[in-house]
Amino acid sequence: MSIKLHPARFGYYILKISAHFDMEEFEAKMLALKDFDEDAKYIALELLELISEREFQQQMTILDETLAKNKLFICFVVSNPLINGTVFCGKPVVNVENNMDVKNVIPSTKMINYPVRSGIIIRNDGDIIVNELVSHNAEVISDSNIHVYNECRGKLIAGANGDKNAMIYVQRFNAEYISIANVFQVIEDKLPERLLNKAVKIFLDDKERLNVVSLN
Amino acid sequence: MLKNKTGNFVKSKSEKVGVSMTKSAKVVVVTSGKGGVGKTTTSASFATGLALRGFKTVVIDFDIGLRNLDLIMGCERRVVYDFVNVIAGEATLYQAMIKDKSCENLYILAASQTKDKDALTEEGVEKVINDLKKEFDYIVCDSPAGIEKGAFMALYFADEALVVTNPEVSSVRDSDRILGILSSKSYRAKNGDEKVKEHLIVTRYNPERVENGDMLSIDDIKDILRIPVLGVIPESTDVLQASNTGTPAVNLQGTNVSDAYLDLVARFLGEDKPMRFTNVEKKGLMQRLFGGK
Ligand SMILES: Nc1ncnc2c1ncn2[C@@H]1O[C@H](COP(=O)(O)OP(=O)(O)OP(=O)(O)O)[C@@H](O)[C@H]1O
Ligand SMILES: [Mg+2]
Repeated sequence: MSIKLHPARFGYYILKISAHFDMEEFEAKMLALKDFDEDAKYIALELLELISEREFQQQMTILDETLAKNKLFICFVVSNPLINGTVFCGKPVVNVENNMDVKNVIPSTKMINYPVRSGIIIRNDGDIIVNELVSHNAEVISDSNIHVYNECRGKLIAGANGDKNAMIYVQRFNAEYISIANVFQVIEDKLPERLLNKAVKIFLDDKERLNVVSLN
Repeated sequence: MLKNKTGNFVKSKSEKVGVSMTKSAKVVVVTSGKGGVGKTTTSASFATGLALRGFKTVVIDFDIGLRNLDLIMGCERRVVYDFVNVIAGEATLYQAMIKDKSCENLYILAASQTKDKDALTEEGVEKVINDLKKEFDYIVCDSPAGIEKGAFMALYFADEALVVTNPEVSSVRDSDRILGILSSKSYRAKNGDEKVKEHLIVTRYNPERVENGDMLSIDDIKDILRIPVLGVIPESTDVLQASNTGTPAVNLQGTNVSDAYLDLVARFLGEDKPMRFTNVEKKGLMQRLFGGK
């Protein structure tokens, strides 16, 4: 019998999280991760905010439980200037090379099946699909595309992170504000008849102007 | 787990077994966002209507600093202790609850005129509501205007909401805002329970002014808010008269307002009642010639 050593790659996903994260979004992300890579197992946790171990302990427990349901687990916490010590909430603290190319590979789509009321903000880094009314003064903000399969009277902000290829589709267009990649238009006056309450597509043209085109 | 008489634990089949042993009280908030739209008028008449149907009902005034539910219910002289006293532990619920003068099953928990709204703590309100749930079928919460602490506490524990609106744009927009808060910040929303059941009530409705285009129609309002209309209460001077005499408008038998509130309560209890008082009354020839109402 011989003994051989093989180099092995240790693959993990870095979960960047703020101290008070949105549970729903987190669960959706983890499901999306499993869709993307069903063998995914190891998660490295990177905290984006300064928070004491004691304060984070409760969140850590919740994270552990939720991850375990998806057969994922936190193998270590990424060392950063906010954390001192070698253990954080029972997890080892590990130095990870800074030059690693961490990309947000799996923005997940958010589906909204209730009316987006005045004063409510819906945010997602992936697409947002709204199947109900978007009221005056409600905001839908996506780093990617927005689809509204209903009437929209509120504010739609696509490509919020600067993506100029982001698009907006609205079934019944009556929005008060539209924006793609920070190019925005406040719609104060009544829309022309050819657009009002019509199905439209909104995009940035090559001169970076907002275009609203009727789909009828 | 439940304990049996000998003190041993017995297995309960499901959580529900335990729950159905207590009274299944419902908490109903009457809310609006905008002020002066008829929340208190509606709270008083709705609570009275439920009590008249035999349900043991308590109506709580959350408008701390501005007592007025007790005025409309005609019991302001009998307020010794109020809601805030109970939360602060200065009085028991039984000392603070006022039995309605004419209606057997109806109780009122008045608001304080002296304390400020920070007196309403989440734990305090929760405790009072849980205690009331043991005794009552319905707990009606009369919300103050706005979206501050008092309004928030009034809706936080609600199972159902009566969203009161007037047929004008600003009131309807505020109701939309309140609906957003109900669906995102209420206890039910926060705990992922079944969502708060929403009902729309349009008050001070004046069909003539709607026909003239001065006011929004029921359809306009429904198009903006998209929730079912539980009742339409006509604009009427009877409401002022009722509040001057310290009796809920629903008690003014034979008036349109009273009938509209009775219909509303019936629909709330699942009965099928067609909407009334939403169309302009076409006056007959005799009425046109000789006046009439
Ligand atoms: N159907 C109606 N017809 C005519 N007047 C009405 C009607 N309903 C309410 N009012 C009047 O409108 C005024 C405000 O009513 P109410 O106090 O019930 O409103 P509210 O929403 O509770 O106000 P607040 O926001 O100040 O608590 C009162 O003067 C009342 O008499
Ligand atoms: Mg009031």
